[in-house]
Amino acid sequence: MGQTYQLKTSDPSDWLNRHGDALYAYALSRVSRADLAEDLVQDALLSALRNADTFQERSQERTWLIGILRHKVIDYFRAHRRQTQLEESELEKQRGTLGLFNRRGRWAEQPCKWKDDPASVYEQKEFWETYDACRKRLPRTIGEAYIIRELEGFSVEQACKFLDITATNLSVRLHRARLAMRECLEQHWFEA
Amino acid sequence: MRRTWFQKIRMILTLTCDQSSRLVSDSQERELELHERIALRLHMASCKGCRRMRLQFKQLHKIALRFRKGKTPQLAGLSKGSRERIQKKIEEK
Repeated sequence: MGQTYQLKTSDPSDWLNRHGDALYAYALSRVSRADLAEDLVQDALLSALRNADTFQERSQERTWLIGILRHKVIDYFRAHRRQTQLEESELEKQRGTLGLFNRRGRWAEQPCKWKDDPASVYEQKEFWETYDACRKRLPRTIGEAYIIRELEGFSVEQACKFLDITATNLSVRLHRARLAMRECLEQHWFEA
Repeated sequence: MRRTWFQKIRMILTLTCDQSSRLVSDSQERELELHERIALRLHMASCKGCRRMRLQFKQLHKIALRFRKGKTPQLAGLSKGSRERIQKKIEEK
C-alpha cells in the first residue's frame, strides 16, 4: 500500500534526485563521454516530463525512465553511426593485425584459465569498471555492433537493419569484439 | 553460406583456432550447420585453448546480460555541476 501511495504522488521534479545517478550511469556506459551522457539524461528527463501523463502507475518509475533514455541513446547511435560499410576483407585484415592468431590460424598465445569464477566478481565495482574500459577500447564499428547486440539485446535481424549491414558482416564484427573483450578481460582481470 | 561437399569436408579436417572461435561466436547468432558442428567438436577435442575460449565466450555473454539488465553496482553518478545544469533546464520548461 505504502508503495502505491508513493508512486501516485510521484513528483516529476524529484526524478532527477532519485534516478539521476542511475540514468547517468546507464548513458555513460553506452556513449562513453561524460558531456554526452549528461545531455542524454537531460533530454530523457525533459521528454519524460512532457509525457508524464503516459506513465503507468503500475510500472516502475525507474524502468520507465530508463526506457525513455534507451530510446535517446539509440537515436544518438542512429544519427552518428558510420555511414560507410566496412568491407569484410578489410575487417579480416584488421583482425590479423590483432596478432591473436599466427599465420596458421592457431592461438599466438593460448587463452589462460581464468582465476575467478565470473559469478564471484559481479558484486565488485572494479570488475565492471574494467569491463567498461575494455569495451571502450573496441574500435568504433566493432564496439557499436557489440553494444547493439550484446548490451541492448537487439535480435540479429534488428541489429543488421539498424547498423545497415549484412548478417555476415555483423557476425565478423561480433567475432572480433568477443575476441578483443576476452583478451582484454583476461589481461586486466582474470589472468592468474 | 552455401558450401560444396568438398569445402565442408575440408572444414572438418582443417579447422583452425581462428575459425573455431568464429563458429563459437556465430553460434550466439544462429544455429550452426551440421558440418560446422562436427568440425567444431573435433577441433575442441584436441585443443585446450579453444575449449577455454568457448567457456569464456559464454561467460562474456552472461556478463553482458547482467550489464544489460543493470545488475551491476552503481558505477557513475552525476556531478554536482551536471545536476544543477539539468535542474535548471527542467525548471525552465
